[in-house]
Amino acid sequence: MKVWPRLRSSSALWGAPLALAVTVFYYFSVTSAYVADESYGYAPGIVSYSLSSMYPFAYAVAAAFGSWESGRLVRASIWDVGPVRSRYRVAFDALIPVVGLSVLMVVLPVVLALVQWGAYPTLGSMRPLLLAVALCAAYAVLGFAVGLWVRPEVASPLLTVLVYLAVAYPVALDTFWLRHVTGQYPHALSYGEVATWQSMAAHALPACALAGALAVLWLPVGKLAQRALVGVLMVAVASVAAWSIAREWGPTPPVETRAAELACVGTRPKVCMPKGSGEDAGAVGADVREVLHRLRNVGISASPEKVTDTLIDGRYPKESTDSVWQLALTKGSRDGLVRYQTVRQAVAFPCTMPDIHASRMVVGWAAAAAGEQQTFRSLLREDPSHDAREQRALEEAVSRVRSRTADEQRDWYRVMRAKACADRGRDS
Amino acid sequence: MTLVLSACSYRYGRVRPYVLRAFSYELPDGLTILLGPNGAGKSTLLKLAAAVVVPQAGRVSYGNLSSRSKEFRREIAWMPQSITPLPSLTAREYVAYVGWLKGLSRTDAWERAQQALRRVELTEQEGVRTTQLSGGQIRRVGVAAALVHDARVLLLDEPTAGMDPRQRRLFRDVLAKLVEDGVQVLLSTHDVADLAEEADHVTVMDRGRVLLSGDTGAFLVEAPEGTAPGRVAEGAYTALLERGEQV
Amino acid sequence: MTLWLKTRGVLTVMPLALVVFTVLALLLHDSVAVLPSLTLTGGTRMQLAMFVPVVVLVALGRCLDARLPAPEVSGVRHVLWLDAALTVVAVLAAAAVGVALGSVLDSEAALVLGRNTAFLTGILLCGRAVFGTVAVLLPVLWIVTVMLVGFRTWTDPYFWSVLPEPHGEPHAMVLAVTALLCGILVHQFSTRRAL
Repeated sequence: MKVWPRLRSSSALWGAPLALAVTVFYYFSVTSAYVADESYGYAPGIVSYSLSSMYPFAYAVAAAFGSWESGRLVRASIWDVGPVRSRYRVAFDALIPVVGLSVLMVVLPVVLALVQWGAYPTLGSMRPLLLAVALCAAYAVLGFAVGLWVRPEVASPLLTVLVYLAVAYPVALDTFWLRHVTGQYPHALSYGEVATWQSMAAHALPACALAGALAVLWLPVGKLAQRALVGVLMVAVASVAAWSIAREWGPTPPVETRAAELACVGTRPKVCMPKGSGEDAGAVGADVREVLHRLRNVGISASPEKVTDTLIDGRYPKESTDSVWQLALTKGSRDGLVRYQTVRQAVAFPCTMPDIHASRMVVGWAAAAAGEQQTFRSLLREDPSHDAREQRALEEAVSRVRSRTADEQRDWYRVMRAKACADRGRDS
Repeated sequence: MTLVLSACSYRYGRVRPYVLRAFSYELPDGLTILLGPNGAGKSTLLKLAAAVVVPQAGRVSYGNLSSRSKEFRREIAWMPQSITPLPSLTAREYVAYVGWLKGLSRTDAWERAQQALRRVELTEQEGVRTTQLSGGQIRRVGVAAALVHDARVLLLDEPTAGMDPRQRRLFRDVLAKLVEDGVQVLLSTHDVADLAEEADHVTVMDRGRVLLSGDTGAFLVEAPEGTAPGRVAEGAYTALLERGEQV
Repeated sequence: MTLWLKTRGVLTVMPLALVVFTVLALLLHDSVAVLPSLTLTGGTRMQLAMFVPVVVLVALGRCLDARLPAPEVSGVRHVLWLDAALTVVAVLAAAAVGVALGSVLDSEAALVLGRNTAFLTGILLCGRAVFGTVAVLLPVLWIVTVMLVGFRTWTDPYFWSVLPEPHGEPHAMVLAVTALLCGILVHQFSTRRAL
C-alpha cells in the first residue's frame, strides 16, 4: 500500500494535529525555558528534560490509536478474508502511522531543544529517546491486541486513561522502584550525567515483554495454551528482572557521571571547563590567574595546580583540595562571578564554620584586594539580616585595614584567620 | 388506500445534489418490483416511503395519513438493505423489538415474532444471537421483522440477497400470500429474471427519474426483438436504461 | 420497554460500569498526582478521581450505540426519550455513588463525581452529533485539557474547567447541568436526522 493512502486511511491522521499541537505547545511553554537557562548545551540533559513529560502522552496515544486501528480491521472483517500476507504484516501496516505519530511526539521536542541550543546529539544522550521509541511501539502493539477483542469505542478511551496514569502516576509514589519500571525516565540529567543502560532496561522490560507476549499469542505454532504459557513466562521473567534491577534504587536512578568532555587551558593553575558549555575557558583562566596574583601580593598564598568546573559532576560535586579546586565556573562566568569565586576559595579558613563577622572582614578585604569589592557588596545586600549600617561599618573597617602597609596586612590576615575559628562560638 | 409521494425532493446533507427532485409516485396494488442501477434513487424512495427520512419538499401519504403521523408508521413496514445484527439480541428478540417499536405490546410482539420467524423458516434459529447468523439468515430475520406487525404496505430493499433458491421460492410464496391479503409490496431488487414474472407491476428508475411504471407486460415488451426467452426481463431492463441515457 | 433495555444492553453493561465506577472512586478518591501542565511550573496537582467518570461514559456510549437505526427511526415508540432517560439515570446513579462515598469517607473529590459525570456526559453527547462514535474520546480530551491549561494556580482552577471546582461551587453545577441538557437535546435532534 502506498504511503499517502495508508496515512489517509489511518485514525492517527485525524488525531495528529491535536497530539502534535500539545507536544509543540508544551515544549514552548515549559521545556524551552529550561533549555535556555539550565542545560548549558549538554545533549543528554536536553534530551532527558525534553522527554520528561512526553512519555505518558505518547504511550497513551499509541495505545489508543492502536486499539482503534485494530477495531477497524475487525469491523471490516479483514481477518475473515483470509489474507495471503501474514497477520503480523497486516497489523504492522496498520500500526505504522500510529507508531509514527507517537514517535513524532517524543522526537519533536528533542529536535526542537537540540536546535534551540545548537547542540549535537551524542550516543549517550539518545538512550532515553530510544527507550521512548521502543515503548511507543510496545504500547501500540498492546492497544492493537486489546482492540482485537474489545470495541474501539470502549478500548480507546479506557486505554488512554489507564496507560497515561500507569506511566505518569508512579513518580508521585513513595515506592521508588515503581517509578523506574513504567517507561517514564524520572530524571532530568544534570551536566556530565548520562542515563545508564541498566535504567533503560528496567523501564523497557515490562512493557516490551507484554507486547512480545501478545505477539507470541498470534504465532501459528503449537496450541493456544502453550503460547499463552510462554507469554506469561515472558512477562513474569521480565517484570521480576525489572524489579530486581530497580528495587534498591532511591527516587533517582543511578547515572554515569563525568561523561562530558573537558577542555583545559593554561598552567598554574590549569583551568578545565566542559566543552560546549558556551563559555570561554581562556578568559575564565585569565581571570583566575589574575585574581590569584593579586591575592598573593597581599599575602594570600593560594596556588592550586588545577581549577575544575563543578558542572561536570552533576548534582554531586566533589570537594576542593589545596591542589585541585572545584568551582562553578560555567555558572560563575555567566553571572560574572568567577573572580569572586576565586577569592572565596582562596580565603581558606582552618575550620568549617568560622565566625561570621571575622570571616566577612577577611573576605571583604580579600575581595577589595582583587578588585571585587562591588561584587562583595551586592552579594551581602542579599542577606536580609545585614543592614546598611552594618555594611557601612564593615566597609570602613576594611578600608582601615587596606590603608596599612603590605606586611601589616599580611599579619592582620594571619591573625584574623585564626581569630575567625577561635571566635566561632560567639554567634551560636 | 395507497402510498403516494407528491413532488418530493430529497438530498443527503446541504451541499450534495438532490437524489430525487419533485418526484411523484403512486404505489399500485399488488407486488411492484423496483429496478434501477446503483445510485438511481431506489433506496431513497424506499426511505421516504417508510418515513425514515423527511423530504425537504413535497409530502408522503398513505390515504389521508401523513408520513409524520404514528398511524402512517404503523401501516408501513420497511426492510433496509443492511441489517444491523446486535450481540445482545437473539433472532426472536430482534424481530420482537421491531414489533414493539411498531406499536405492538411486548406480549404480542413476542408471540408474533415467533410466527414471523416460522414463516421464513427460522424457527430453529430463534434463540441464536443475531451476530452468529449467516448473511442469508440475517436477511430472513429482516424479512420477519418486516412481517411482524401486519403492515398494509411492505417496503423491501434487496430482501433476497444471500438467500438460496429454495429460500427465495419460500419468500415468493410468502409475498404471494401477502398480496392476496391486500398488502401492497414494493420490492427493490437486482434480481430481474427471478421476480419479473411474479410481479404485478414494474417500476424502473434511473438518476432520480421513473423511466417506466406499469404492469409486467408493459415492461417485458420493451425487450428488443430476438431476445432469448429466458432473458427477456434483462433485455427490457437494459433497453429502458439505454433509452433513458439518451434522454 | 424490556426489549429496549435488552437491545441497549443496559442491564448487563451499566451495572458492571457502576460497580467499576464505585471501586475506582473508593480507591482513588483521595489520590492526587502531579501531572504535566502548560500554565503551572512543576505541573498540576490533579485529583485522580477526575478520571473515574470515563467508565460510566464509555458504558453509556456503548449502550447508545447498540441500536437498530432504521426500525427505531421509522417506529412509533419514543426510544429517543428512553435514551434520554437512560442518560439521566446513569448520571444520577453516578451522583448517588459519589454522594454516598463522599459522605461516608468525607471526600470532596467523591462528592463532585456526579457533577463531573453530568458535565462530561454533555460533552460526549454533543460530540457524538458531530464526530459519531469517536466522540467517546472527547471527555478524556477535556480532562487532559484541564490538566494542561485548566489552572491559574495550584488551587485555583479556571471557571470553565468545571471538573476541579470544589463541591458546592454554583457556577460549576450550572455548567454541568446545562452541558447535560444541551447534550440530551443535541442527541435527540441529531439522531433523528442521522439516516
